[in-house]
Amino acid sequence: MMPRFTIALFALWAVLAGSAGADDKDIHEDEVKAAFVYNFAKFVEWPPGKINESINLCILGESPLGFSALKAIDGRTAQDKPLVTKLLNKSDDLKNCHIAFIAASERNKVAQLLNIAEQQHALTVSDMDGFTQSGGAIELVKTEEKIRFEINLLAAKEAGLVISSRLLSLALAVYDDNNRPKQ
Amino acid sequence: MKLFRNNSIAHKLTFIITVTAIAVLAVSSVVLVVNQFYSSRVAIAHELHSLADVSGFAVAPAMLFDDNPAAQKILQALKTQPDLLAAELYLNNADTPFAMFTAHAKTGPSFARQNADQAPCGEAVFTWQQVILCTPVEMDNEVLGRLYLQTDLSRLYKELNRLLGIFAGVLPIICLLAFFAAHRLGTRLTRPIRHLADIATVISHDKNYALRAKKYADDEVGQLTESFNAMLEQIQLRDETINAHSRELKNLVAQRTRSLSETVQQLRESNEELKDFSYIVSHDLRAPMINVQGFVNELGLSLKELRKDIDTVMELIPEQKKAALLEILDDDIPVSTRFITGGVAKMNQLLAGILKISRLGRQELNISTVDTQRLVDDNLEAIKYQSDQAKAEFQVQPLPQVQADPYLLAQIFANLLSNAVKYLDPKRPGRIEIWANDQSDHFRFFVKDNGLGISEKDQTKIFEMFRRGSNHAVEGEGVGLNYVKSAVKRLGGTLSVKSTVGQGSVFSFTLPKG
Repeated sequence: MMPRFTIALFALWAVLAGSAGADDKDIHEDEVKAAFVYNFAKFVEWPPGKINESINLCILGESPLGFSALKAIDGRTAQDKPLVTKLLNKSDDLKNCHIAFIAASERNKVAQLLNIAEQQHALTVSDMDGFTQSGGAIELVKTEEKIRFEINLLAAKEAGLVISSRLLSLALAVYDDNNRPKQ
Repeated sequence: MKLFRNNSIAHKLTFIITVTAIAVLAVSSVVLVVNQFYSSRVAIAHELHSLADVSGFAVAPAMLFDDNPAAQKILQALKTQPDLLAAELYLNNADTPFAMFTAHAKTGPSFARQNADQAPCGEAVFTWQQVILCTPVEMDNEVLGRLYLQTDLSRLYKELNRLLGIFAGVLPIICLLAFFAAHRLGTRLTRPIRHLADIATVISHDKNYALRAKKYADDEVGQLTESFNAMLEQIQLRDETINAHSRELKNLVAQRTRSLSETVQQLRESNEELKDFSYIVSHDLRAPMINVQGFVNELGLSLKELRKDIDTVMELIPEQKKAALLEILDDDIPVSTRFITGGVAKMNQLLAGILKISRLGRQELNISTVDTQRLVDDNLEAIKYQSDQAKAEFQVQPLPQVQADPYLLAQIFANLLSNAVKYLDPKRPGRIEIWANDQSDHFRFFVKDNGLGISEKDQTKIFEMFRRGSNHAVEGEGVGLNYVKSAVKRLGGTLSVKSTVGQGSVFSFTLPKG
């Protein structure tokens, strides 16, 4: 149990963080998004043999979420495997990626990237708008100051991935099809 | 347990069986209820654990993704759980619930957590009213937070109450059943014993040993019944033998009594005859005796006249004849008449004695209080002359008052005292002692002298009529002691003597006090 004093400090920090500038707010949001990405790893089943020693998270493009927040989840375990974050420079190297975080900067190359990722059985995650409609698996959505997510189940299926129903139940929307939402 | 002791065995058995049945039922009811209570608690805890596990599993993703509406939705689903009062979900280190569910308005937020905080998470905490379980919510071995579930226990108590109610309802029925079963069983079990007891009572009351107890079964009571019957057999046999003996004895006694009473009757008759005879003899013989005496006297007078007449004619008789005649007249005839007179006197004395004794049996007794002291003194006065002559000295100890015939008692003492004086040894000073002993129901009077004494062979003879001891030097008619003996007997006592020749005699007789 944490001493009361520490709890009070945390509370103070939370208040200070809440009233801080936009940068601070973005940093918090990035951390949440990074945590989401990490948590997705817990509910996804890759095809057998795909995962060896670690679950590799590949970051494509330049994102403010980018490196620092995602790097922070490096080394945490999901499904008893450590999560390894990699920053990819070239989009064509998705061979050992299990999760592909596609930054908003790569919006123009999405179709191509998704295609590669699908072949590599990688779970595609992005916070760019319309990602699931474009064929991405999971899209992080910001609603009422909260981060939620949408899932394109078909995309995941086509990549040979099984997403746990427990995750599906939390999704803001699940698309079974490219256009029609399931819920 | 006095009440218990005085009751019949059947009642006791009934009581014991009924009480045992009730006790067993009561104890097993309690055991069952207690067991039900604890096993229900375990079951409830188990259920709660399962529920918490399932809920935790469902709610974990929502926690991961900070999705309270989802978590709330999942917890709301718990409302289908009938006894669940509240469910509260906390993120690690959080003070306010991440999501919560309350079944009733009265259980406010944090209620479950406050109650469960005392115990480490993972254990169910029971209070009387409810149970609170804290479960860590995990995802991939990572603890995300805690889920508290609070369950109401009133259903458990309702269940227990229902169970108790059933027992309470069943108990009177069981009591009744047990009572009736025990009563029948007790009655049946004790029937042989009761039968035995009844038979024994009848036998001890009626003394009818021909009765037999009926044997019901081959158990202990059966054995007892057999032994009892065997005992009765023996008693009956013995009883019959005794009865036969007793009958025989009675017959014998009756026979003997009959013959004895006949003998007694005969004896009485002959005794009566003898008494009459002796009376008649003594009485009637006196008249001829007096005649004889009278005529002997007349004969003497005639002889004197004859002698005078003969003196006048003496010269005419020759000298030779005269001497012979004078010898007859002066010697022979007077000697003869003297002998006749003596004989008659003696005969008279004897007749008087017989008369006296025969009268003794015929006379009515005149019982009154007699002062024996005075009686003896009077007697001593009467024989003062003789005793002075014999130089006898009397020692009289205080004598009692008795109930007796004064005449007979006086006669007894007179005879014994005169005898004592009469048979003193002239060679030494006479000494006569008189005393009496109080011997419970009778007095014994003693007259002791230091006289001549009576030889052993004479000691029985002296009490017979007309018999006397060898000491003929002393005068006596031989009636005295016989008379004394009869008189003592007439008064209901006995006479006895102890004597040594040359030392003296002790005569003693008893007198009953009544």
